[in-house]
Amino acid sequence: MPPPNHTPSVGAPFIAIALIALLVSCQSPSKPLELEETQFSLIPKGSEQARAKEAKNGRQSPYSCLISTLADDEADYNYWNRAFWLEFPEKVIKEAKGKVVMRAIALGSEHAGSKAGSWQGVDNVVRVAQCLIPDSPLAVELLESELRKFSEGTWISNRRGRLASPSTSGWECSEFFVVVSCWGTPTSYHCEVTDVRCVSYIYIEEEPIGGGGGDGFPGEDPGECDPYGAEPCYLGGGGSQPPPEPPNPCAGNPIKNPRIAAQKNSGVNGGRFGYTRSGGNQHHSGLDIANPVESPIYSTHGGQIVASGYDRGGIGYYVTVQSLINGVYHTIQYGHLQNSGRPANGSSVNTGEQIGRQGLSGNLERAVNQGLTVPHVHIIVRQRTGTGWNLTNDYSSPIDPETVITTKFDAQGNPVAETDC
Amino acid sequence: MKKQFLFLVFPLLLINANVLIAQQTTNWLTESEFKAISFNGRTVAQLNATNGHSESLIQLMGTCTSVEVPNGMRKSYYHFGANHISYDYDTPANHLTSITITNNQWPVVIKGNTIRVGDTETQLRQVFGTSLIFVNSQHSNTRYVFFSYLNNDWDSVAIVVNPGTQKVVEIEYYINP
Repeated sequence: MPPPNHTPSVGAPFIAIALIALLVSCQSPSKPLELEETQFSLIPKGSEQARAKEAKNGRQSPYSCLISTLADDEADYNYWNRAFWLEFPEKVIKEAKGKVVMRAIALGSEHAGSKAGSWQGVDNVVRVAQCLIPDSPLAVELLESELRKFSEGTWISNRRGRLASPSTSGWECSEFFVVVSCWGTPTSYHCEVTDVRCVSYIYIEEEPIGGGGGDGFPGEDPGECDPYGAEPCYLGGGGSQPPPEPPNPCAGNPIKNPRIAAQKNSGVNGGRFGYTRSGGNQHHSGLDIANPVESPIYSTHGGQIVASGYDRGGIGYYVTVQSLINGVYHTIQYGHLQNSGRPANGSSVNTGEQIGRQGLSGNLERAVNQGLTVPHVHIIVRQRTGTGWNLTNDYSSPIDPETVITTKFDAQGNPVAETDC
Repeated sequence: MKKQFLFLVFPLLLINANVLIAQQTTNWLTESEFKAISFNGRTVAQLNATNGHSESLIQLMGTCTSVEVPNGMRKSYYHFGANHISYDYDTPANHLTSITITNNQWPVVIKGNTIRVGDTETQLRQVFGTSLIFVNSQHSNTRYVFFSYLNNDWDSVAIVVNPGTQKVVEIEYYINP
């Protein structure tokens, strides 16, 4: 069952009260596709139902799934994996012409909470289905709809809590699907993310927009979107009009809605500049801004790329931008990027221009797998203090990046406000 | 009716999930055990005591084959053949940032047990016990054994295992970046 190295390290909140609330909210399942719901079923492996089927037919379905549900008991990280046989409608099997493929589908949300997981390089994932299915788009759609059922009542409750006190405004993806495709045989294969798409959006603003009234939660008012429907739900006042394209970050911010990446033990302070680490030997030289892998990173200020390199045992792939800020030259270094997509040395960048994508380069991959931190961009800022332009001699030791980026953070590492957008 | 069943059964599944065993990623040592870990016979404290001075480091670790400075950074990688040690010269105190061992010439001693690149998972379990925690990477085809000490976010030792060969391919001391 691909991929074998799936080890969810984190989980989603479990709040019973919110579960009850969801019973009266938007959950009015309808048939996700034209296919009859009864034609598609998950039969737990080892169950009486499975044994009965085997006794009757002499064999089980060639299609199966391992579904992992991340949970969170507020004290530690937990997850469970359950194996299912799958029954697909004849239409799906015909469409696949008998071909079986490995597909994995994940479901997550930016609002899954601080303990949400990473999987196949995608963050905030709370459900994963790893399956052998007919090679058919309809089969993937059926799996998606099934996985959405598994999602109800978990991180959505957490999202509600956050909505109560929005600190930013604008469209955000509130739920996304990830499709991972695998090639090869069940014992020798490779997988990669082939699709990440937002399936519902949320608009965070004092006055909800989007028409149709409502309070910003799905399905609580007549005519609001159907979360089981074929069309994506666009939250924030109902209706199913697509939201505008999410904007780039505010000028002076490296990503949209930045938050400080907390460390497992030291919390938010550990992600801040100057925190003393390793028994006093090391002061954290930068600011860690949480950012999902693959997400774009933007130059906080316009300027010139003065260094681009690789720090294997530290910040990995990085880009250094020299910018004039308040009449003083600074260098702003962005670390833990991916190798590709970085501007060339000597090139110019504008404020808000993309300078790379979030990676796990340097030691970050290990730290993330160890559960010490989350994917983040490490930002180091220095002021020019010399008369020349030598990066090691004419610039200061690192200064607090919070002095140059636009967003200011509260004690919990959340943005106090994101303005000027 | 079916709709209600779905909602009713779901909390039960989650309740079951919560009693499953929590995932652990790190093999915990005491702080003194961790600080006693030696790399080719030297501890992190001894390496930090060189203050990143190349002469002192060479005295301690032997002939350095090359020094690499990442573009525009105040950091040096001292290569000793296939192994390297890096120092950061940016902060108030120069400090060791990583030790990376990729051949079997440098033994690593953890809790009195000597391990080397090339050891098998079976050997690791023999010396550290069958409860040794292995972590499959969520991002690459790699398996790790992490050692650290409680209430510490920063210093760790990672034993990197190739899941295919089930052999140690790298041992690294690193500071959470």
